[in-house]
This record gives sequence, C-alpha cells and structure tokens, in this order.
Amino acid sequence: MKLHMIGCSHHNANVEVRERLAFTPEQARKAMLMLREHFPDTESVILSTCNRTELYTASVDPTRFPSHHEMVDFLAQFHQLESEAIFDNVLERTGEDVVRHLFTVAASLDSMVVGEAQILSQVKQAYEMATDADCAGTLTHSIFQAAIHVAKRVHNETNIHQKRVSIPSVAVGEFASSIFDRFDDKKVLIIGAGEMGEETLNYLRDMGVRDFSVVNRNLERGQKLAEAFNAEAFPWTELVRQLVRADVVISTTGATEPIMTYDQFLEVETKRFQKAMFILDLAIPRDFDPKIGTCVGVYLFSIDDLQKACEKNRKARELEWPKAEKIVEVETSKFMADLHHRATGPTIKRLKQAADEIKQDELRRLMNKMTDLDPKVQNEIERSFDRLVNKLLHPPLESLRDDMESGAPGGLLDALKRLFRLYD
Amino acid sequence: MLSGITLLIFAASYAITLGLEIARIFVRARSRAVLSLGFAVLGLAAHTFYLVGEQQGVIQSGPISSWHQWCLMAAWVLVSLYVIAAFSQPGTSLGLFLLPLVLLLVGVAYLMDRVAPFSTTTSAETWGVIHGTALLAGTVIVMLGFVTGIMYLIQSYRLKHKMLSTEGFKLPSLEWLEMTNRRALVISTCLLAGGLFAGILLKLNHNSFPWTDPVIWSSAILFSWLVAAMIFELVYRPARRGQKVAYLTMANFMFLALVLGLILFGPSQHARNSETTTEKDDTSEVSQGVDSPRSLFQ
Repeated sequence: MKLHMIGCSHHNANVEVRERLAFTPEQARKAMLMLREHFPDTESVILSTCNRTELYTASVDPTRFPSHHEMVDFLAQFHQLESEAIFDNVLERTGEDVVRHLFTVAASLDSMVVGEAQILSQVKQAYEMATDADCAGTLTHSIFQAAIHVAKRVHNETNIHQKRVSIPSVAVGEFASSIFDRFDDKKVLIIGAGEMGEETLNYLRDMGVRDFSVVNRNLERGQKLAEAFNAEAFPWTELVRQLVRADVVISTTGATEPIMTYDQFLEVETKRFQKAMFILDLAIPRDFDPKIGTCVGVYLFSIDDLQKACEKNRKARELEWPKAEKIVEVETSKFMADLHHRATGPTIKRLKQAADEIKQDELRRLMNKMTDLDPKVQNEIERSFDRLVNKLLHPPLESLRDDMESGAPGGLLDALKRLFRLYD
Repeated sequence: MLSGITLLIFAASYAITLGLEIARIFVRARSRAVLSLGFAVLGLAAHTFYLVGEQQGVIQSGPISSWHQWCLMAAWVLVSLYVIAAFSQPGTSLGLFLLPLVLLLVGVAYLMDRVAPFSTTTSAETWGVIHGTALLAGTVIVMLGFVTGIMYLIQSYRLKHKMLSTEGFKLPSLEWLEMTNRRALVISTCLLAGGLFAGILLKLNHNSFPWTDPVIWSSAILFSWLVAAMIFELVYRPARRGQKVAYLTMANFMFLALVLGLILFGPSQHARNSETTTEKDDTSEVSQGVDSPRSLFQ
C-alpha cells in the first residue's frame, strides 16, 4: 500500500511556477486519465487552486507504483516543461505525511489566509472530479472522505474559520452585517475605482446587493467599473445626491485632500434624516473627514480601523491553531491505524485459515486412529488443538500489529507472507 | 403532581439559564447552549404547570385573576419569546437582556402572592378581560422594546467604536433591532391605549370612576406620553431611526414601570388590597389581608 503526493504551493513556489504547474478542470481530468493509462493500478486526484497544485496518488500494490521521478516527469511533460526546471519547486510527501498534509490543507490550516472556507469546496471538487473520471479508488476514497470529515471537525470545534482576516471580508462580514439585516434592498455607492473597492464590491454582491452606483472624477473610468457590476456611473457633481440615497459607501479615490469635509457632509446628513449609513473609507489619505463618524446613524470605518480588526482576528486565529492541529494529528493517527488494520486484515485472515486447515487435517487424522474415543476426551483434544494454534499465532500477530502502529509498516507483513507462504 | 411545583422551581431554572447566558461570554461550548436551552424549557414547562395549577385551584374568573398571575403570565410570555429566539437565532445574546426582566416579574409575582384577586364582578366582564389582556400584552411588548432598545444602543456603541463582536456576545443587526423597536413602539402604544380605555369603560359601567386615584392620573400621563411619542415618531422623520426609537421605547418602559409601581405598591384601588377594600370588593377565600407573602416553597 503506497500513498504519494507531489506538488507546489505558496509555501515553496512563487506565483510564476504555480501558474505554470496549475491545471484547469479540463486539464486535471485529462491528466488523471493519462496517468491511469501509464500506471493502471494507481489511483489519482489532482487538486489545483490559485495557491497550490497537488497531485495525490495511491496504490494498494506498492510494486506497481510510479516513483517520485516518474511523477515529476509526468507533471513536467504534461505542462510541456523540462523536469529539471521544476524539480526543485516540487514538494514530496509519502505515507502518513500525505494524510497529514491533505487533512491540514482541507482544514484550511495550510492556506495563505488560514481558515478561509473556499479550500474545502475545492478539495471536494477535486475528489468529485477524480471519482467522475473513475480515477479514484479505495485508498483515495478513504483519504479524501476522511479529509472532508477532519475539515468539518476543525470548523465545528474551533473558531479558526469564524475570524475574518482580509479587509473586505471584515468590512462586509463583520461590520456591514452588524448594521444591516439584509442587503438585497441596499444601495451601494462606490467613489473612485481602487482595487480594494472592487474586492469589497464582490463581497457585497455575494451578500445580495443589486443596486450599485459609481461616482468618479473620470467618468469614463467610472463607467468601466460600473459595467463590471451592472451599475450606473455618475459624474462627480452628483456626489452629494448619491450620498443622500446610499446605504453603503465605499471610497477609494487617490485624492490628496478629503473629498468630503464635515461641513459638506452636514448637507447630506440633513437630507438623510439620520438613516443608517456605512462608510468604508479605504483611501490613503482618507477621503472622509473622521469627524463625520460622530454624526448620528453614520458608521465610518477607515482602512486603519479595519486593519486593526483584521490583526485582532489574526491573533485570535493563532490561539485556535494548536486546537486545530491537535484534531489533525488525532485524525491522522486514527486514519493510519485504520488503514493498517485494513492492510493487514486479509493476511491475518489467510494465516488463520491456513492454521485452521492444518489443525482440522491433523485432528481428522488423529480421530480416525482413535475411533472408540469418549466424546468428552475428543472435545478436550479439539480444544487443546485450538489453544495450541492460538498460542502459536498470538505473538506474530501482536508483533505485526505493533509494527503497523509504529508507522513503519510493510516489512513484517511481507516477512509473514513469505514465511507462511500466504500469497493470493 | 401540580401541587408539587413551586415558584422557586422555575425561578431557579431561569436564574440558571441566565447564569449560563452570562457564561457564554467566557465559555464556548455546545454543552453550555444545550444546558441553557434545557433549563429554559424545563422552567417554562414548570411555569406552565404552575399557572394551570393555579387556575384549577384558585380559579376566580377570567384568564388573569390576580396581580400575582398577571405578573407570572407576563413572565411566561417573555420566556416563551426567549425560547423561540434561542431556537431560531441560537447565536444571539437575547437571554442576557430578557431573563433579568423575567426574574423581576417572577419576583414581583412572589411579592403579590397573597394580594387579593381582582374583583370577580369586574374581571369577568368583557371590558375587564380586554383591559387585563391588552395591558398584559402591551406590557410584554414594552419590555421587549426596552430590551431591543438597550441592545440597539450597545450594538451602535460597538460599531461607533469599531469593536469586533465576540463569539460569546452577539447582537442582532441594527436594522433588525430598529425594525423590532419601531414595531414594539406602535403595537405597545395601541395595546396600552386600548387597555386603558377598556379600564375607563369598565369603571364607567360601574358608575365609579375614581378620578383622584394616582393610578388613573398616572395612566392618563402614560397615555398622553404614548400618543405624544407616536405623533413625534410620525411627524419627525429622524425619530423613526434607530437611536431615537430606542430612546422612545426605553422611555415607554420607564413610564410603564412608574404606572405599574403605583398600581402594585401605591395607594390605589388597583394596589395591594387592604383588609377593608378586600372585604368590600371581594368575598373570595384568598382575600385574607395577609401581611407577608407565603414561602417560595409553598
């Protein structure tokens, strides 16, 4: 039985390398099918996200398993690259380390943003694709199903996923959600066309916002952004009118002076009748005078406020890390013990069967010679034979179990098979 | 079986639930949530049996026959709301705000334990039933508005100071709290006004309108306040917004608490009946002019 993984992630490869080794879903499917063609007894699953590309392989029969070099060659050839060019960037895991690694990845402990929820669905998609392509087998089924279970345990038993750590997610998930109950009836105003604003808009769109409007000094640029979000673009002169109707404001201009002073905002405030307003000032220097935050119903957050909140959450996640790691460790040990048990099961069964057959033969021979034997004595002889077989088998089976649990399986199992000629 | 259920049983259940709700701030465990809800449900069941038992044993007339029962009914409704909220929104710390009011009502019910039931002649009348029920429902909604008002102010303070919510202390969104507050303000005003008018009609039917009774004039002030608050809310648009609605609902609660205080403890016909008034209004076996409430265990 062999488990193997090669791949690269943000930990060991830069973005250029990751881009070259990444698989689209179609490519991943094609690669798995090709791998099956080259190595028919090998199961495979390809996990490819923007931060990692990992090729998991497994086989019940270790003699028919591709070597590390063969796997790297396959990966390089598929992407039409030289093996040497990627060899140093390819990470390798074998045996128990593969299990631990996949559990860590699925639980989002190995992600760039620890605790992000997307990775679990990506692991599920990769596994489903392998299953659909008929490239997954007994071992990959077990390990991926266990990984999904571990990820759920970490999610349920720790707070690691609940603490948001990116600025847009904190802004929308923590603060905007504390102000508004629903977002499908909210009006969002974007001032400027900064990258961070765009990311925040994506979060808001996921929350159900439909009404977006953009105000930009350069109307043409504003219209470009508006197109992406099915929004309406307005000239700069419309700023006050749009502020009056907005519920959420995201400001990311490159202005060197505030675009809205407190005195200017008073006009907006009068027309809004203290309706709740969430202002995300993501610009540096700030677009909104901080004093605006004192107005009733106005909740003004600058990038510094959000960064502080992110930092706090990051620290809270770190506190949860040991708890999550412990779950991964416990589950890895449990999985490996179960896997070894399953691996030794057939051999032990065959050994017991062989011993039983010998016992039955010898008993039959003995009983044929002693025809007038008292049934009580006959029964006693049978029980003695049973005890003898059990006592003889107990030490080797115990040693086998210890060997499996010690994490260095294979040697003793093979020895046992060879000693007792337990072949299929 | 019902005779074995005492005020202490469900008061203790609610106190434990409150303790577990406070523990939520420091401890994150599923067992805590299960225990908290379990004690609340157990307390509510005991509370229900207690009320049913009282109706069976000391039944006077109408659904709410004494101040003791009136307070317990109000507490029962609030706990039911808490249990519903705990099932539908288990992450919210509503219990932290609602349960102290429940315990307060149970405490007042304990103090009102030996106060004579309402007059059988009036409480059975349609106006009497409307009077009692509308005031009970109005009181509960005012209390709910008070609780959501406080929650609104805390949530608003947290957001103004850019504080992240913690796992153990989560509040609903400002929008939800504002909406609940507004509804509480309107509904409670209608119910309390309806209850007060039903009370006036009840007294007029009996040709005995005690104008000098502090409860009557304090109720008139309460009614005037409610109408003024409603008009203020309708005319002045910012008054429909969160913080101001929260202040209005809290002011409603203060006025109501004042009126209830006068009713329950003041020199009024509504108040704890002295021996003379008891004899005059009521011939029931309960009206014995007892000096102190009975033990919690009785």
